[in-house]
Amino acid sequence: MPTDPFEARRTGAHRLRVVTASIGAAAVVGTGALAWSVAAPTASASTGATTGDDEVSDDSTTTSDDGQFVAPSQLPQTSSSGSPHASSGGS
Amino acid sequence: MIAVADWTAWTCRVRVAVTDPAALDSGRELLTDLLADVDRAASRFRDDSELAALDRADGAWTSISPLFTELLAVALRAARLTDGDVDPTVGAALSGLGYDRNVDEIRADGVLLAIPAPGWRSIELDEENCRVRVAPGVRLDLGATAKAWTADTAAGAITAATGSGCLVSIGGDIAVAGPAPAGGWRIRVEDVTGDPDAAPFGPSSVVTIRDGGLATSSVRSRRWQRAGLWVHHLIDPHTGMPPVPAWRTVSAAARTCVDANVLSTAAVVRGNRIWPLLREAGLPVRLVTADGQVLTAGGWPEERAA
Repeated sequence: MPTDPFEARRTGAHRLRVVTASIGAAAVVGTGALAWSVAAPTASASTGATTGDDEVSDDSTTTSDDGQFVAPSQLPQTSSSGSPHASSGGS
Repeated sequence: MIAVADWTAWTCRVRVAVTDPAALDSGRELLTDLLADVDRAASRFRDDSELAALDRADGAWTSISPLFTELLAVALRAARLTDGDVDPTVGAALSGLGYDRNVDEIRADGVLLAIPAPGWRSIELDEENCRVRVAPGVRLDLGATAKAWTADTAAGAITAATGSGCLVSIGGDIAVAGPAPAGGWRIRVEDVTGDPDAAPFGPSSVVTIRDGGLATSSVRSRRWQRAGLWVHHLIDPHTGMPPVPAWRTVSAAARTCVDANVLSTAAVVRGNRIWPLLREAGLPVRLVTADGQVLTAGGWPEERAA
């Protein structure tokens, strides 16, 4: 089949525009999806502080420790002697 | 010299220990008052509590005290930290198992109902204005966090008021504050909170802590018989039933007794699924399997099998 070099160039340029547009669209969609995936758990974690029946405020009283466990400044140590000061079990 | 006072509250052993004996009376009085205040705010077993008033609010916004607001905020934080495995909406689930009165008054011949928890997102808390709205029919239980919060708050307040080093234990939920005694506060961890001045009833281990809190959750305690089954107070919110126990007892240490208790409770509820949360939390923990094998993680000292 004969090939028109000008037609081939136009087709190639068109394909390039289509691919570029697709990549651009994918980037927009991907960025949005990423933003949603980050925002969703953040929103669900910042519960609670409401100022009206249907209004959720942004000025929650969340502290820096609110979203994580905090370890003691010193680890427990094995006790080698002495009677215990307290018992910790289920109750 | 350590001075101690012991009594019973909330059907638990309560102990205040202070490094300065002159601080003992003040410490005991302060803790007694706080226990009464928390009971008035959050008890499931008295009609005049703020929690009982929420049951009657039928989904309406309700004004609450700053204390109850704080207790609810702590409970909701626990639910967030554990993705709902430590959930304050298990009140109906506990009642379904017969635990709608003090545990020693539960009748064995009643029915057993599995009532999954509606979930902590059914609570809307307005901390700034001290009010809350709970979806109609949702029943709360703050047992997983209120004791530990009371221990934390009392220990800090006693040290602030007296300057003495202080240990507060409420049913084995332990908080310490101020200067520790030489060698640290010695805590015996075991399945069931016992008399520390007596010999341990079963397998145990003694560790020392100098700050923060230590808590233990166990399926060996607060158990009762209902409809021919033995059940206990640690509820899987998703089923409304006690979980299949991978761990019979879990202890944890943290900056606060609340954090320690939230993690130990979550471990019992999640069973073998707890490891990702343990890695994320990074707290020292001690886990006892159903047959008594002891595992430690997060810097808890190694020991022999219980």
